[in-house]
Amino acid sequence: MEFIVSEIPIYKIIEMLSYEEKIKYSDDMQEIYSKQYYESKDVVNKLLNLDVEIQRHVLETFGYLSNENNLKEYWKIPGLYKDNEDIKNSVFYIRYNIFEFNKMKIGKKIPPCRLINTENKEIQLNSLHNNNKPLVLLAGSIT
Amino acid sequence: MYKNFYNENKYRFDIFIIYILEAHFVEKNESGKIIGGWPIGSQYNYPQHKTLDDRIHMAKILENEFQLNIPILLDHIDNDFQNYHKVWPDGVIVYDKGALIYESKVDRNGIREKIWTDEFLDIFDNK
Repeated sequence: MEFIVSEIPIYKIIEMLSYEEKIKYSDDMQEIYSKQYYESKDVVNKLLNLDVEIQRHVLETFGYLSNENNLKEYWKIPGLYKDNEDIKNSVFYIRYNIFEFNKMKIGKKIPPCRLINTENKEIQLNSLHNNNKPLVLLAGSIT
Repeated sequence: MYKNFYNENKYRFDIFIIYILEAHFVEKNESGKIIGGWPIGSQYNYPQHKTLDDRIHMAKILENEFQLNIPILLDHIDNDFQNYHKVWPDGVIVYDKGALIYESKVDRNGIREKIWTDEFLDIFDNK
């Protein structure tokens, strides 16, 4: 069966996301994630592949084909419903997901932006930029 | 990965790590049950930063564990850097002559086609 996200009622989407979350957070699945993390060289994509396998399973469990088209439709859910309170209150992996596709535009000036050094002193982002050299910012966290 | 990029390019570019919100943080209740976050295995077992001290603590763990030797700065606890650049869970941003010249992108399915620092170097060196 074809999965077209705009035609699926919210309660059904919540059921699917909740099921996905239940699998992701199960002890068994967490063990599989850890195994991949320690044994795989291409960790990021391996972990993403595990997520995709879970999502294929969710689609099949709810009676849909787990093909690429249906997966692509399924991936639209977080973006489409990121402000939907019912979904955010039901599924915490959506609630905490602050990933956005609409980013800054090439050519935009450095914004006013406060940063902190490890001595707890506040500095401005633009104070790092020497106009003779590009400023490369590698953003992330240990996790 | 970033270590090599830094060592090979630190004289061409000013390079900093910006420590932002945790990606795969885990919130647990008193009995240890996962009640929030984005857990992907027991290798990551940290809650999200609630204070600037939490963020500084995590940045120091990164520095000590990976010995990156790359200058590190933290996003403000109000997440100014994230709010402007939308880089979470991670990303690369490059400014030149005061303007944005590169920002990393992830496909809708989360797949990264190329290592971002390699992608940036390809663009920068071939312009």
